[in-house]
Amino acid sequence: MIVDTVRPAKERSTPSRDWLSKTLAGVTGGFGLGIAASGLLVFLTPGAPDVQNKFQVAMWLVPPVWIGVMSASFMFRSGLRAWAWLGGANIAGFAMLAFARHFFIR
Amino acid sequence: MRSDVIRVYKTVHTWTGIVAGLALFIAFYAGAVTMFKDTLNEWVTPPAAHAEVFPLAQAPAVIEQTLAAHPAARRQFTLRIEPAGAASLSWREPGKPQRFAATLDATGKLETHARGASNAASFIDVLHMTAGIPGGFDVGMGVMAVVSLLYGLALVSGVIVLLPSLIKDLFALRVGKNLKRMWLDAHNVVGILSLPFHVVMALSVVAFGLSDTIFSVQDRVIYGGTLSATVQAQNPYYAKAPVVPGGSTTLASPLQIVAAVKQHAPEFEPAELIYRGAGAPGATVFVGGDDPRYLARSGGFALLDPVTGRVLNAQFLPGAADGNAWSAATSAFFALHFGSYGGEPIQWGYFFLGLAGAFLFYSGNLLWIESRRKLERGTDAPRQRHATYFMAALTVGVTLGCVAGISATLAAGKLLNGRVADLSAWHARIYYAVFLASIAWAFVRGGARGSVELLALTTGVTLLIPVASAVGWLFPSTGMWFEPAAAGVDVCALIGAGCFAWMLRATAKRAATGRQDSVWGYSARTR
Repeated sequence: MIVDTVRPAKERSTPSRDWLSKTLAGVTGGFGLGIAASGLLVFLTPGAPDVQNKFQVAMWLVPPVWIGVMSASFMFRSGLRAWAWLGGANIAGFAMLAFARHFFIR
Repeated sequence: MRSDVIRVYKTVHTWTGIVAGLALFIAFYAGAVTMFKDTLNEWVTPPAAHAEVFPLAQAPAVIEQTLAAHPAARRQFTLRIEPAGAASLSWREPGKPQRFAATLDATGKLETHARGASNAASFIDVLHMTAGIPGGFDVGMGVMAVVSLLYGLALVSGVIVLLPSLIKDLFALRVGKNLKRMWLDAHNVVGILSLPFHVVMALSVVAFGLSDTIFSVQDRVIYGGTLSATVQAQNPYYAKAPVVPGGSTTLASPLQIVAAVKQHAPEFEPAELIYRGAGAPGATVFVGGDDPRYLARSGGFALLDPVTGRVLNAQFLPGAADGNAWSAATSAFFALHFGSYGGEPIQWGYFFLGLAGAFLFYSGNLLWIESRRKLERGTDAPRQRHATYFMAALTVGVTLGCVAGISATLAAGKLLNGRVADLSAWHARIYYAVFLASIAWAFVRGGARGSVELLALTTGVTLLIPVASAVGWLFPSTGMWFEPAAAGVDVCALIGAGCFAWMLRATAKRAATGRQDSVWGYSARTR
């Protein structure tokens, strides 16, 4: 995140603040994003959702997204920001999934 | 990168590492050993079992007579294709721990043999998958998946911490007075150079352990409840062959099955045929084998109808024309975890990468302890923190207990063969007895003395492996034996014991003459 140099050093939000809140945001938000990403893979790639073993690749996509987001969650300046950004990303992800499902299925 | 970002990732790395490290040590050490599962199986198989083979051409007769005489074999039996045109047939009787094998005698009559062979290799494999966590296989796999999430975090955070000084630190192994520096350099170079391997392991274990959870969520939000039908229809292991009313249930000869698979994938070498429901409508035969040229799932396999020889599912048959890209990608995910490609060089590569991984986790714990060390000032050796004494004892107890336990339980596969009724129960008893006693010993004696004494134990029990073979070779009357095809196990155990003896010497020397303001000095208190 961006360094806020105007405020005095003592008040500056640091990445080590709210580690528990950030961790939980990363774990839940990361899982949600992983699921949304796998859903987009299922609907936006060529072939029907039930083509041979596409479901396997969709499952295997979840762990890398999940771990990636979990790792990145410590970059946020505060726990609240982590929840807000990841919550927003999840809403966007699942909205895209709903669109993809609506337009590309059948 | 900002220093406070580095600091928080250092904290993440420290705590994920310390929580996950010991379970990962067990998984990696046992996993490295499991790379040679087949050879370990050879090592614990008594020579009598090698006589339980018959020419492959006789297989139809053996199968027919076995199915007639032993209804349990109809549910499932395995025909293995052995070297030099031979085959063996075995199945499991309900409620009995050992498998049964069948051959024909000189007059063509069926003979059955109870196989006493030890399942030490499978035991070590399960240990690899669950780290020996009690509560059953699913609990162990689930816990290891969560451990792997932490492991993934530890990998990312470790790389971020190292990045600013990567070029400076990577190729520097500063051996010298500053032992912490040396361990850190070693930890970094092993971690960075085997990073791709570790990324594969962390991601794949999350997928293996949590696939059911992920599937059930995906079923609800992506597939609208249709996923289980898809999974069942595409199951590459279990299916029902299409049933023709009034159709024949007579099995085609195994040679015809092999030919049908070869027609699909000429370079694939079938190794075993697992028949399910033989003699009834809907029977299947699962053909497993290998084609080292491909990133294949478990070496590659196909499911056929054993009556017609028709292929039912060849998605994971390497080189088959009808597989699709999704199946190929899935194959690669599995193959990269198991090292089931490229033949022996990859097997050895994974073996050493696995051992290097075990070292990575061990050295991580050492660094945790060293970072908390209170330095000597004045004449008195300072009292270290409780947590470091605790972690030192736990680290040496778990790591050396695991190594010694695996050696002991493997050696028992030969030493106890024919001497106890239920060898598979003994494998578990011996491993857990050695493992838990080592942890207890480390806590009673403290990290310094405990590490020296447990290294002596580890060296000793690892030597039991070649000793058992040597005794069997010199004195076959003991009931033990030497299997030339598995001599590599004896040689590796001997080299391993040599390494442990070297560590024992170095550790004892450090404990006696190294700095005493450390949990590793002999003058350290136990707690």
